[in-house]
Amino acid sequence: MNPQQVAQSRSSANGFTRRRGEKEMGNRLENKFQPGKSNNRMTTAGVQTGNKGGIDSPSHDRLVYLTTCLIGHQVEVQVIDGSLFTGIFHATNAEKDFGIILKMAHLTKPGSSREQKNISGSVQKPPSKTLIIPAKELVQIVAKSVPVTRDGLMNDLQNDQLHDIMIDSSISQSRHVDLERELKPWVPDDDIAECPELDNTFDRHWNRGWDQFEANAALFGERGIHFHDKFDLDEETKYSSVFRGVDDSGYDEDEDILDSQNSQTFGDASDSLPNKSQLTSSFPTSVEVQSSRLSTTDDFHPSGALDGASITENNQTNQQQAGSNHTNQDTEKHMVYDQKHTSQSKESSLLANKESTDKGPSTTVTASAPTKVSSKAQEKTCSGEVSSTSESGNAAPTAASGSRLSPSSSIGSLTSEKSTLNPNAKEFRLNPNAKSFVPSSAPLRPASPVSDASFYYPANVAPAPHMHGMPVGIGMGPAFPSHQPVIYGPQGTPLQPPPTYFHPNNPQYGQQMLLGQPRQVVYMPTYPPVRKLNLILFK
Amino acid sequence: MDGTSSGDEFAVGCLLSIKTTFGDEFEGQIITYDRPSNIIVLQEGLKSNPQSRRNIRLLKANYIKEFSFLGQSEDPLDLKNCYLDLNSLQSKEDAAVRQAEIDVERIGVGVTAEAQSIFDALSKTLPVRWDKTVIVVMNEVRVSSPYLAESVTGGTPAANERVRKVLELERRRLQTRGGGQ
Repeated sequence: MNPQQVAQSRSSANGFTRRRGEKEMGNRLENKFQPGKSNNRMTTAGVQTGNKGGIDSPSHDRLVYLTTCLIGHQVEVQVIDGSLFTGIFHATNAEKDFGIILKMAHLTKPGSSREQKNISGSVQKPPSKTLIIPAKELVQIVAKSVPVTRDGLMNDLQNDQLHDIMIDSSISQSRHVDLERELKPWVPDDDIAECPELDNTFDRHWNRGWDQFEANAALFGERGIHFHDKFDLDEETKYSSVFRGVDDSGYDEDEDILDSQNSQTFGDASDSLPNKSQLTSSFPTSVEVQSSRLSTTDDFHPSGALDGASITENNQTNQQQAGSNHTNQDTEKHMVYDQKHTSQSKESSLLANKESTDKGPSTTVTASAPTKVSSKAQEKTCSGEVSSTSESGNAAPTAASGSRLSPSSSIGSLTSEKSTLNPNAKEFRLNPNAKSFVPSSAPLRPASPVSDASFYYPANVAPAPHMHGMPVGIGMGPAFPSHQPVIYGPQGTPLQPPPTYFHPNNPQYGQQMLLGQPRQVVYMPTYPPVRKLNLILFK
Repeated sequence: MDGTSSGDEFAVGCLLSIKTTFGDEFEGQIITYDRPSNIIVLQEGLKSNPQSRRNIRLLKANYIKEFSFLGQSEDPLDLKNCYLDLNSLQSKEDAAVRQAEIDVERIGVGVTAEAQSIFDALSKTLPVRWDKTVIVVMNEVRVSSPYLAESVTGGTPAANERVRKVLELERRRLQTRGGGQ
C-alpha cells in the first residue's frame, strides 16, 4: 500500500482538494508522501502503520479541514499564561504540533503572567503583524461564525467579494460588521449631544444678521409675498413684464381691468387731453376711436396689423386732421422704426409726455419729434406682439393690444390696489415720454416704458441675493429724490442717461430688476441691491 | 486528563460540558479529536442541526479540567458537504488583513484610554488620524496631550474652533458618563 495512495485516497475520500495553499500545511503534506525523511518520521510512521491516531487519520483530516476553514477568520487564542490574543488566523503547522500563526494580532486580555500596567490609562501596544504561538503555549482557539460547510463557504466568498468594494459599513466598522446583520433604522447616539452652536461656526461671515423681511417691510411696506385674490395673479404676474404662460381666464380679467383703467387713465378724451399739445389735440379723439374699435379686436395683433388697423381706422374717421396726422406720423415713424409701429404709440407717448415732469427729452418732443421720442423710448422689437409698456401711454389705442396689460397703464392705476401689470403683457417698449411715477401725487402715468424696458429680464436671471457686488439695483426706497437717477452699467461705468425716466419710487415695480442688461441698470448705492427681487424670483 | 488515552471518550458527536483549567466553561459537540496534537475540536451549542456557520473551539485536551458527558448526537460535520476553496480563503485573509490595518490606524499607540475615547468620539464626525500621540484632525488641527481645549493647535481659525467645540463636548460627555457610572 503506497503511502501516497493511501494519503490520496484518504484525502479524496474526505472531499479535500489535493492542493493546500498554506505553506506549512503544504510542506507537511508533501513531506507526508516522502517516507523516510527524517523530519517527518512521525508522519511516516503514522502513515505506514495506519495508526488511526496518526496524521492521516480521519480525525486528523477533520482537524486539518476545520483549521483550514479558519484561515482569514478572526480568532481568539488563549495561551498558557492565560493571555488572550485576537488576530487573523493565518497558518498552522498541522503536520507537527499545531503551533499557529496569527496576523495583525493584539493582546486583548493580559494573562496572569503579564503585568497589567497602567490599569487606568493602559498603554496599548500596536498589533503585531505576525504572531507565532508555539504549540506548547497554545491552549485553545475560539472562532465565531465559521463557515464549515460548502454553503457557508460560498456565502462567505460572496460576502467577501461584496466587501471588496469596501462599502462604508466595512470601512467604518471593521470588526463589528456582521455581513448579514439586520438593518436597523439609524437613531442618533445619545452621546451625540445637540450642538447648535456648531452650526453657527461658519455662518458668521455672510449671514450678518440680515433680515430680508424686515428690509422689505421697511422698503415697501410689504412683508412677504402677497397673493392676488386669484391665486394665479401673484406679484410676479402682477409686476412682471414678462409674459409667463397664458391663462386665458386671468387674461380676460386683466383685459377688462385694463380697459377700465385705460378709460380711467385716459378718461374721456376730453378730460385728459385738454393739456395736450396741439398736435395731439386731435389725437386723443382718434385714439379714442381707435381704441374703441380696437378693443373689439383680438388680443394679439402684429404691430403691423394694428398699424394697419389704426391707419385704416384713421382713414375711416372723419377726422381728416387726425388721419393726416396719423399719416404723417406714420411716415415719420416708419422712417424711424424698422418695425411698423402703431401710430397710437406715438400718440400715447405724446399723451404721456404731457404730464411728464422730469423728462427732458420727452418734454421737448411733444410737437416735434414723436418719432424721436418713440425711437428713444421704445425698444425695437420686431415681435409680432403688440408693444407693451410703451403703450402704457397708449392705453387707448392699445386697448386692443391694451388687452395686454402694460405696466405703464397699470401704473396709472397704481393708486388702485390691484396691480394691472399683466402677465400677458406685451413686450415692453420703452417710452421715453412716459411720465415718471410719483406715488404720492395724483395718479400719473409713471415711467412705465422705462421701467419695463429696464426691468425686462430673462427668466433665467440669476437670483438677486448673490449680486451684492453688482451695481444693479432695484433700489426702491422711500423718499428717493426725484432726480434723474444715475445709471451705471454693470461695470459701474456711467451710461448714457436713458431717454426715459425711471423714478425709483415706484413700489409697484419693486420686484423688477435689471440684470445683465447693458443699459438701464440702475444703481442705487444707498440700498442693498436687489432685495426685492426675491419677491419675483422666489415667489 | 491524559489526552492520549483512548479516543473513545471523545467520539465524534458527543455532547460535552467542559471546564478548562482557566475557568472557562462551555458546552459543545465534538467534531473531532486529534490524538497526536491532542486537540479536541468542538462546535459550540448543543443543537445538532448543522448550520453553515458555527462557533468552533479548538482546545488542547490537556487543559480540560473536568467535563461531563451530556449525550451523544450525530456527526455534526457532513462529510459530503465539506469543501474548501483555497483561493477564496486566501482572499478572505487578505481582506481581513487589509481591514485590520485600517483599524490599526485608528488606535493610538502609547496613548491613554481617555485619549483613545476622545479620538473615537472625534472620528464620528471629523476625519482624524493618529500621529504618535497627537490627534490630527482634518490634517490640519493637532490635538496633543492632555487633549484639552488648550491643546488644540493649528488649522484655520474656523477649523480650530470647531475642533475645540467638539472636544469640549466630548469631554463633557465622558465626564458625565464616568460620573454616572
